[in-house]
Amino acid sequence: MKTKYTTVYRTLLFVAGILAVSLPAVAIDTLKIMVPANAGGGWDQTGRALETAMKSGKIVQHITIENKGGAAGTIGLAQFVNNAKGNPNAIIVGGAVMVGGIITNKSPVTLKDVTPIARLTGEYDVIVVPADSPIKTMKDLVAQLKKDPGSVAWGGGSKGGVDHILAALIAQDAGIDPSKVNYIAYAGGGEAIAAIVGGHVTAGVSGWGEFEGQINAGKLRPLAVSSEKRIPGINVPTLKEQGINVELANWRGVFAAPGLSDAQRKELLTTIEKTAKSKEWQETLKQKNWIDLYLAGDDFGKYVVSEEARLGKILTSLGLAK
Amino acid sequence: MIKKSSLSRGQFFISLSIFAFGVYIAYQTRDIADTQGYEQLGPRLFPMLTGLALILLGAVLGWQTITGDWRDTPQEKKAHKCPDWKAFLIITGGVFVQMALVKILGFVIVTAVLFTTVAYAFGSRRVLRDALISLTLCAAAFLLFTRVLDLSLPASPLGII
Amino acid sequence: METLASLISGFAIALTLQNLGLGLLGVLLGTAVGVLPGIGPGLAIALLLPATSHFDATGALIMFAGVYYGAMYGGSTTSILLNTPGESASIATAIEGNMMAKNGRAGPALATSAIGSFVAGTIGIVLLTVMAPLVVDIAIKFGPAEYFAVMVLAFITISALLGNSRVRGLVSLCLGIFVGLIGFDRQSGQARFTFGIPQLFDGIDVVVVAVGLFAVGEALYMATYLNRVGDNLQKMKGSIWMSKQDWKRSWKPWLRGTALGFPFGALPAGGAEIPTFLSYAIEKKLSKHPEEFGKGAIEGVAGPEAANNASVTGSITMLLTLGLPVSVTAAIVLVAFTQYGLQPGPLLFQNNPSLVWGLIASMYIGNVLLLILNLPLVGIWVKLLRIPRPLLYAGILVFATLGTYGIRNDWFDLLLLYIIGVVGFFMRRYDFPVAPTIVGMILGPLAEQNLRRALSISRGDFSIFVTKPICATILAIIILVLIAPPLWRFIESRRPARRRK
Repeated sequence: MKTKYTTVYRTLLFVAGILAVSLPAVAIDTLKIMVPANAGGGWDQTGRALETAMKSGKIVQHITIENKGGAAGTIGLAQFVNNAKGNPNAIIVGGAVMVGGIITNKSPVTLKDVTPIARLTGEYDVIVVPADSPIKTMKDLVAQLKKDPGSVAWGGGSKGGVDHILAALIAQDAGIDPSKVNYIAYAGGGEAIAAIVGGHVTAGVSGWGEFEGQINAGKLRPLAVSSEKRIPGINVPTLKEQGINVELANWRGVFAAPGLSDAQRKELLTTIEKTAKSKEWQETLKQKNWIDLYLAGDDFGKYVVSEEARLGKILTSLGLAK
Repeated sequence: MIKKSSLSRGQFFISLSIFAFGVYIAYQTRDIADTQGYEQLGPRLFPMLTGLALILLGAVLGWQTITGDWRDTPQEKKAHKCPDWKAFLIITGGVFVQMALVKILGFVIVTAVLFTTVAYAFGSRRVLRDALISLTLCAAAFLLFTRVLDLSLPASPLGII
Repeated sequence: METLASLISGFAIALTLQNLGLGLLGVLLGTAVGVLPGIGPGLAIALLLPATSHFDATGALIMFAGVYYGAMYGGSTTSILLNTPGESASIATAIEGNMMAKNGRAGPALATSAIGSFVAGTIGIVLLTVMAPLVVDIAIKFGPAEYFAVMVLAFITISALLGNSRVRGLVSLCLGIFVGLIGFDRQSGQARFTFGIPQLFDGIDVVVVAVGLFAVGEALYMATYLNRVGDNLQKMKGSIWMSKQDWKRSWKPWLRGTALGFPFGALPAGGAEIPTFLSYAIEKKLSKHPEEFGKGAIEGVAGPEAANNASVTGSITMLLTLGLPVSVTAAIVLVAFTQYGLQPGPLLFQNNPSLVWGLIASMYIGNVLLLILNLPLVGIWVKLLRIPRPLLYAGILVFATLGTYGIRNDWFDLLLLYIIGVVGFFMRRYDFPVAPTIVGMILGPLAEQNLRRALSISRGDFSIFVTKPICATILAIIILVLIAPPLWRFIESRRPARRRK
């Protein structure tokens, strides 16, 4: 009898031991990255670069990336808020484009529904035309815009996003009603490339990283970048140099799921900080011409709120939001 | 192979449902905010066209039912005469049990219940054998998907699987 | 020459241990789902999608392609031995194949279908290899207007080829388009038919629709109507090898089947059913032994089997070069591409040549593997047909719910799966084809976006569709497709009238 009880007791201990081991570990070993845009876009590149840096820096072992494009990332955001609620192993890539998209689309899901973690990078937009286009400079483009605003079809990322705002700002600076801009929205810059290279739209506007490959291949001609000063290593004039008083940066960052405990949030903050400081990440920044705009935690939260106000104002004055 | 069939209540009901669904889609289109750009079409056009097409197709099908032009391939006609609705309901029950309890009891247990129920609906009466097969299959699938393929599935209150 | 170099580099990728393994796994799974009644390649890939999100894109796509054409090989085994086609593309094979098996000629029937599949598959891949770069050169000029024109052509060929239940086929297509409209609209960001349910904001996953229609709907239908009908499995008797006479009667149907299968596979008609039936009809007409048709004529197996395998390569050509899914399985493979952040289309050849050519090369290897798997080893697959029906369908439902629930662990998806399953049940009961639903769901939103982009570019001017040369050509083809069949019928109706004089 006695031995039988001991066996049962031992078995129970063993089971308890297994249960204890299978409890979730504190350090983050798996991470789901939601990229709310289709292939080739800036968020996609950010997500994939994070994956590379985390893996080669041995910060996170298992990483899944999910692409879910459209409607300025609000489609992906809605899915993320739905599925990842309370999941400490999930982040979503987002940024200025999403802020704009939420306002113009009157999205029922906003950035208030997620937990801000960190701003990571900034990128400047570039305006391109197909290599065989008769338009050679920004002056040519603005001239055509002034003559007939609707004749310039702009291809770029989501409606109400940074690309769209930049096109509208350029029109406004030229004295044209920004709501007259003929903007063709794609799920991401990558999807727009085919239409620009094929000459189906007049000009393309999106992040430098998204067009870089086709610019270097000689298929697209860069007209201007949206930075204040020339970007080192890129021999393309700024808008300001060409008499257009417009400057715009597209920041990108990561957010976590809603409903996290303080400890879970801290864990993610440390993970992202480690990644952002890693050698691999810094090399990626250089290679992609992204500017390091690292800003974490509560400061980032405040920044997001201020961006919502700033972009909301621009979009309203452009007639894109009510 | 193709024969004219006499007026069937089921076919008429199906035609009517398609017609009604088309009306519903066209009606619901009004709820979509209309924003137009240079394209001058807006997000309402395609839903409206789809609704109208279904209205038309429902009407044509309804007409075919009345005139007997709804052509049927008769190879399974005999089977259609003796439907086994009990089996339909048993499978439905299994699916809803799974839906309701998957978070509480975990994937393996509820899905094993689903397996056994479906097998029962298909006429298997060796419940114990089916239950054993299903538990093994579900546990193996669970381990494969969660451990090897990194898919997340809810575990039972017992932990491991 | 450039193509040859690309293909050789593709073989270097396809022959790595990992990709070879995944390709083998794919053709094994494909043969299995092809053999098993009730599961098709589309359903199998849909269920594998959530499970393979961690795989490397090239390997996963090699596996999916293997499932796709593997199922075409496996399907014939079931048609011949059971007279219940394992998948829809094998219905034509079942007619003669099962009769041959009843006459004790199961072996040659299996052999001519396996060898015919190999011949057609290989010729199809050669065509894919040669044509893809040419199509890409044209496709690179495609803008929104051209894509929209192609979609219109797609919708018209689908409805023209739907056969005797055209109205019901169109209903199915419209239901699919409606499902595709659910969610945020890309061009305006407006919510459509979401009923305020957040789970619907991002649209309904094609996996849920495919699994609901094919697995749940089919299981409900089988349980309700067909469970009392028994199966009649034919035994394999005699030699598996074909006689000299069999070879002589098979090789021409193989080639004719290939010639039909590839172009029809490239047309958006929702699969391989049409070319297989066409091939059957043509073989019946051309055969020197027309009296044998209906009693087990080998031509009636050789032709359709070649046609269904060639059609797979045709639809893969369209998917890779234009990003246009023309069959259910291709539509689901397209979803797989986007899961890996890839956009099939002309730019894929430029940006991911190693993936594209690795995939193409893997198909050459896969066909050889399948010939081995389906000729000497056919006995193993036959054992799958011995699984009792209750356990088979119970297992199908387990994997259906696993694949659906695994997407995002949401009970709502299971409810959606069941609702779509009930719709599928009624579609099956009243003989509505379900393939157009899936194709419509994918093509509908694509057509809408491209139409609105094209008109945005032209500022509401519809003449953009006729002033562009490629676009105008496609429109001319559309008109030809529309007026040719009635014109043909008119001429046909006049001919006997003249003879009577």
